[in-house]
Amino acid sequence: MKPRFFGLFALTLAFFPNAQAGETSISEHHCAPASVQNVHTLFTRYNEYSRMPGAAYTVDLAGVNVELIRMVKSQAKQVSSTGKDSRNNVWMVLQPALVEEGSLYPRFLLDCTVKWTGTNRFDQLCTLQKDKQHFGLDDLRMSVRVIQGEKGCGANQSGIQIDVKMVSNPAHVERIKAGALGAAGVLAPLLSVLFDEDSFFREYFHFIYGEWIKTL
Amino acid sequence: MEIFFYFVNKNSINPRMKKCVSILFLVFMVSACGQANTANEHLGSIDQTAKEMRDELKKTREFLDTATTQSQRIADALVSLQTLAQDMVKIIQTTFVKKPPAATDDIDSVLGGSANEGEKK
Repeated sequence: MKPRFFGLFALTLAFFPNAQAGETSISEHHCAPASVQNVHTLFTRYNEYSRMPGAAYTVDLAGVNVELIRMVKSQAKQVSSTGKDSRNNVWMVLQPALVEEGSLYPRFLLDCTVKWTGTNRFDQLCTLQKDKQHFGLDDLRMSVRVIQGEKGCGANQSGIQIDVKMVSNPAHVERIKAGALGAAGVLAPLLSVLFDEDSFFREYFHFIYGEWIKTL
Repeated sequence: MEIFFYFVNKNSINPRMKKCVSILFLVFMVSACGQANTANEHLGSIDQTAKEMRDELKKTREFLDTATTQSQRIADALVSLQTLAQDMVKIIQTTFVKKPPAATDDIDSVLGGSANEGEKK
């Protein structure tokens, strides 16, 4: 398939969250040519998330580089820190393409904990705080386990296991979709018919982790 | 033929010889007629084949005319598609213009608020 048509395909698959939204997940493993310390530094740069590679998810659509969604805000407040372990509140806001109203941006506050379980390994777990403001997602759990010299990866590599589970909110999704389609003009019927909304967040988180790991 | 009649009319030639030559001549003439008939039949067959080939050529010409018309239509359709694709690119470029993000809450107000805080705004 030609890249530009793949772009259209990806757009149709990835743009909107599903109206019949449910739980969707990612589970992937990478071997990164980096020390566990470097991976830790990268993954805990919470305030930098919106400026890091992968913040903007773009696809090639008929030769045009279209930005589908971008993380426009990532702010962290440290809750506690013990040695190398840490706990932070992380506020994330995503701007979907075509959506102008800020109240329709997917956003959520995460509780992110990092726990070192050995000299060469740590776990990071970020969970959505349901009692705080959130839109688009009702639940999100991002779990990362990093082990340097893990079996299956090279001696100087770190194995990174990523598991993400998310539950989108159907009502919110409909509002985001309406906001986007309202601005889509003549493209609205096409976008409305073709979108498989379920993969929206899944595609984005898959993309963002992939881009981060590429920088290691 | 002239030689034959000269030969037949010549008085100095033996009558038996004349009869024999006459029979041979007759046989020759019959054979020649047969050959001519066969040749005529061949000519008829060639004529039929030529007619069929003419028909085939006519059909081929008609097919080529149709193919040329179809090719022209396809070429026109491709031009239209190219124009459509260019228009599509323009529409996409215009539609997906990158816009600055709208104002959203900061972490401090989110930490101090409740789950539906953003909904009220």
